[in-house]
Amino acid sequence: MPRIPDSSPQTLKVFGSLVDDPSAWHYGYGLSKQTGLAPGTLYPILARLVERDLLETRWEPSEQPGRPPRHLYRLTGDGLELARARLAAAKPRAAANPITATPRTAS
Amino acid sequence: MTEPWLRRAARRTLVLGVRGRGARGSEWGEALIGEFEQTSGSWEAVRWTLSGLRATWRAARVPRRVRVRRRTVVAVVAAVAIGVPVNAYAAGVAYIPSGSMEPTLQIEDRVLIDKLSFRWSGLDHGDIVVIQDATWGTGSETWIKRVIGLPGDVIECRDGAVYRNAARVDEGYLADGTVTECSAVTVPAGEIYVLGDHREASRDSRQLGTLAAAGVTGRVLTRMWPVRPAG
Repeated sequence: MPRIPDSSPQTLKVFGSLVDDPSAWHYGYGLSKQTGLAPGTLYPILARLVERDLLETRWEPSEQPGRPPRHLYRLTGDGLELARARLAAAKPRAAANPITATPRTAS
Repeated sequence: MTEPWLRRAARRTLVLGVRGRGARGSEWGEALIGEFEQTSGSWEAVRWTLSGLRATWRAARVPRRVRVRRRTVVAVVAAVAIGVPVNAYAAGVAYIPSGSMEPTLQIEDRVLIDKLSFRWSGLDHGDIVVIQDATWGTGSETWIKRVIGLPGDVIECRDGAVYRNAARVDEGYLADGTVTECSAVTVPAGEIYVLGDHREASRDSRQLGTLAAAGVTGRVLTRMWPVRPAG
């Protein structure tokens, strides 16, 4: 378990995707693709962030009739601040651990 | 193009899993349904449904307060699933109730019992066995004795020592100066002759005669507690 909340590799991936375009609304499917996380991992992370008002949501009605509405996500001001702080904190740690940061090469 | 059946089944499963019989499910379940149409192909659709339902069920079923760590649940379930049958059929811990096996086993020692392997490998001379026999004592008592005679053996005592088939039994496990008195007996087929190591105190085949080998419920593997150097 991470000592710092919201700093698991999975949460950081989600932050990374959201921070790339912080003003845009993101779809769950797109986030799943970008982060490579299965919905079973992604959605609980999103739900936790929404619970703490770090993420705002809205429903987008479908253009095609009969299709269900889609759920959209965007970081709030607090969320953006926290996401940037967590991502910045994670960088030096990854650099300090070259085994996981760089692929091994045969020499 | 018609939609593949697997994809249709995945959608139906997701909708049913999220909504049940209601018209609308939880917010996050509905979010998953909303994104389902973005998946391409059958396999991605199936993965979306299975992984998504896992998340919504986990969140819905158990309120956060009672949530137990998954590792704990798995450990407890595995321990019970493995431990109960193992304890009943394969191995167990027994408590030594009397001093009849002194000095090898003392009162209140805990010993590890193997309830299985002797059924294939058979019993051997010198094995310490757990016995429950209807003809011994009240019939429900548990006895812990050492196997001295197997079917066909002639057991007799001379000069305070036990002889099996006219050969003196080397009983290094006895206390020094132990004297064994017994009357000669030939062990019948399917029976065993057992003695406690504490010959003055033990009630065993010397008084009660041989007993059916079927009465053996286990073989003592080792003493677990307390840790003492093996006598």
